[in-house]
Amino acid sequence: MDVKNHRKQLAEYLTNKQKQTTVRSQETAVPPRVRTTRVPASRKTAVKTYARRLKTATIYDLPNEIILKIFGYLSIGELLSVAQVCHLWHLLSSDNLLWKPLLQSCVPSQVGSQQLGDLKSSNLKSSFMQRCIEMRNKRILKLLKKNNPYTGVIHCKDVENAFKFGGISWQIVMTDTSGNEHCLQHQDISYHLMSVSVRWFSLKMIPANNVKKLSLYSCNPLFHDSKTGKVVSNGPYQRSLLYSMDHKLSSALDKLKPVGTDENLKVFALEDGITIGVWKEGGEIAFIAIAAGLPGLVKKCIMGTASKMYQSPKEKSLACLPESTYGLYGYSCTIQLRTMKQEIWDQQFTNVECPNSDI
Amino acid sequence: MYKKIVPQIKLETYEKEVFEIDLDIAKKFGKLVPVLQELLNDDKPLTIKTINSGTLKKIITWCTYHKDDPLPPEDDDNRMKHSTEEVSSWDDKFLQEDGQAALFDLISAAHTLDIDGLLDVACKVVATMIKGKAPEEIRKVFNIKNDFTQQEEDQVRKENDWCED
Repeated sequence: MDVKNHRKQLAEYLTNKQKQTTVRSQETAVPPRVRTTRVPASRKTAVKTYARRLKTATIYDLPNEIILKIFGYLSIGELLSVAQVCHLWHLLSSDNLLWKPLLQSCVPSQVGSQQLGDLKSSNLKSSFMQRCIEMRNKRILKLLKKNNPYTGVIHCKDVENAFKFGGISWQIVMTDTSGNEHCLQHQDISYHLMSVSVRWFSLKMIPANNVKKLSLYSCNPLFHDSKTGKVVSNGPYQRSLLYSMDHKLSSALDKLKPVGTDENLKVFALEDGITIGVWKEGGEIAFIAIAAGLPGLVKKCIMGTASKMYQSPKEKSLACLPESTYGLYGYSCTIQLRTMKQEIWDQQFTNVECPNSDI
Repeated sequence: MYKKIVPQIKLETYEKEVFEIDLDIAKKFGKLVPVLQELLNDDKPLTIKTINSGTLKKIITWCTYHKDDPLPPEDDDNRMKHSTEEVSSWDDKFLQEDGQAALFDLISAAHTLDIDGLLDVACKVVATMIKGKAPEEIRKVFNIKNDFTQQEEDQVRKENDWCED
């Protein structure tokens, strides 16, 4: 090819290549230059003009394919972060190009290609997240295989192991009257034979009167370190809704009689095993405690979503009721709420929530 | 004794400054190499209006420093391994010393000239600027405008709920 012609085409190609993908206001404003004279190379002027041009280029000047390349070096958690930066990044960070290799890496190779074929046109990002959750749940539920032959209940030690292996934590989200969300991570958890008690006793609790909405979530980390097998606790996690009260907390408390009081505190027992302590002075929440029955608890924690509670097809009742097909035919339980010095509240229950036919 | 003649390519920048580049340095220019070879020792320079002199100077410095690097591996497995390698401290300093704008100029230019190696490390450097930051912090670092409405932002946050630390 004629060299002169060739060069002209090449110069055009190089100019176009950048113009196609980025819009540079500065350069479009410059009239096209005609190459007539040659300026001798002078390093000094180069440095000067360079300094003048500083601060002109921004990340918006990079073509989309370069942004995608940069995103390719990010971890999954970071990809989810950049999705929240702006519209363009939200779009780019969900690109199937980024998620396909991730999805491929977490499915067995034989089934992989076939299943990926089905997913060709769909959103690989959400399929990948879904797959991660499925795999994690499978691993956690494996720990719960054995049931107690007498009560039909999963052994409490297994539940404890499942919670610890999954790195599951509990979170209370209180929305105040001005719409701000207050998130509190659980501070204390204890495992019992039939239940788990979780407690929050932060000093920064808001006044009970200001709580417009109260939700309880379990926070379930998505990934396990491939080397140590330990859960990645500061990585991405998924939340399951466990309980939600969508009306004012004060109106619920007004209807209730405190189950216990002393000179400082009033203690209320809400439904579903939730106990709330409120300071008499100031009305702030002093503590929240939740007692949750073990049956179905792990599934409820890991298989729900942030907006929808998990409803097992079998376990309709939320109460920690032993299955009637096994050998338990009656029970009573005594519950006592006390400090080291004094007893606040005490009640005995017999055959609670047991239909008569079962006993 | 004969003086060794090094074949050179002439490139003209946005500022109309002409740079003479040795061919063994220009061989880093990926797909452009065969094209440039045809222009070898031609009198008139090739004009690239989208690249300024400062950026081209940096590119020449980088290519000179990395002149003898092995070519990136071809097969996918090795390439994957290659892509997670850390940026050398020389590269890191070299790419960041002139600030963000210069880095983005450099990336655009490396993209135009098809210099894979430079593009890789520069993108990695940008990626490390993103790493471990919350969306709001990322916006601050890159001066990105939040173009979500409150409603959209809530929606997007919910979608990516699982990412928050």
